[in-house]
Amino acid sequence: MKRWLWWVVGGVAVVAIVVVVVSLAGGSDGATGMSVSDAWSRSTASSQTTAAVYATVTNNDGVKNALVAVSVPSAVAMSSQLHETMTTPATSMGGTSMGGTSTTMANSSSTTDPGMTGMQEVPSIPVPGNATVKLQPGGYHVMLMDLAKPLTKGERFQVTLQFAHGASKAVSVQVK
Amino acid sequence: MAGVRSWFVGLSAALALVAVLAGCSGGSSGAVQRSVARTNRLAGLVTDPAPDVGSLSLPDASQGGRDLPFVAQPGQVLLVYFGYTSCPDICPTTLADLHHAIAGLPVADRGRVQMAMVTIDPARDTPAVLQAYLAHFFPSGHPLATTDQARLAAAAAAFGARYDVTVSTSGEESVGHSALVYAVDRHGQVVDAWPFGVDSSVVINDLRILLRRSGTA
Repeated sequence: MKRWLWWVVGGVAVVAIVVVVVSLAGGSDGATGMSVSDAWSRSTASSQTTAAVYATVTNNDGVKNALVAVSVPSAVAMSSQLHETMTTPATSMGGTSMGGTSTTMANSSSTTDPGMTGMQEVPSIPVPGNATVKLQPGGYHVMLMDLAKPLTKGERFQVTLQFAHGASKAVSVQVK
Repeated sequence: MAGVRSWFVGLSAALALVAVLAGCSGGSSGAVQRSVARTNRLAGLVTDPAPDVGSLSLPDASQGGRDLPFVAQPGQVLLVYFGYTSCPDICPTTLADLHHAIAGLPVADRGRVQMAMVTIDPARDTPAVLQAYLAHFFPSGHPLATTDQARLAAAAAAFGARYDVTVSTSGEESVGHSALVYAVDRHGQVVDAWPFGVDSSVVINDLRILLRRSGTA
């Protein structure tokens, strides 16, 4: 056997042991079973009164949970709401529309009207057991209202996520 | 049981690592080639016949309220977006994505793309508010604001854009709008449009085509 292969086998063994030890040690972190990563916000214009917080929320338990509220320091924003951005089909909302023309996506054969996009407040954002839910542009997000000051690229601020079950999580949000 | 599961995790990780190493030793065969196909066909939403918007204009807050006609300058493309500044998700994402796409053009072409944003919420978006907002993304963009609802409606209708601003009894505002970015050519025709979330490679390729068609200034 070549010598480099022994190094590989040895490396794999070490990694395997580390993984097992870490997972055993971390196995008792079951207070809530929720973990949050990649929390970020877009920098805002001086005249902007609102912003959105996005994050990846993972439920490490087998039991369904839900994000029910997010608290934000008043130095950042007055209040926050859980929102979902949705696109409604062309026919279900009023407004002007064009007659006698067809709009098609060049690569698609079907007639497309993207409809209207809007946001609605939601009472909670469900996170099924052993699942990850992404709060991301065009979907679920935390809307910050009445910003105290513009969010500046590079800065961070804290928010606290509250779940239906278990302890809340303080999260540092990166402004990009 | 937790211990057993952890062992599985460890074993899986080890196996995965072996698989990765095996892949690496296999030379460059695992390298994924990613390239965006450049075509001469617009990949956005193309309406036939192209909506004519060139006879319409709206007050441009960056020009002291002087009307900006919906016509691209020769050699340029005019992008038009109907949105509002208290929109936390879709509008800033769209403008940031557009900025990113335009930055993907050759340097000489970036200045040939003009950006205009029409507020559909003029009650809250004063010209100054809109101007500060748009300038955050496009410093030389054209913030278009009018409190003349009939004029706004006529402009939106010409583009095929729809919007709906509703104020509830509690004073909470709900806004719906077509989240499209429209491309207007030098003849005042809407020749292309991109929906929210479109890949920037699509926008870049379409802009290349549109700029080529637009000729020189």
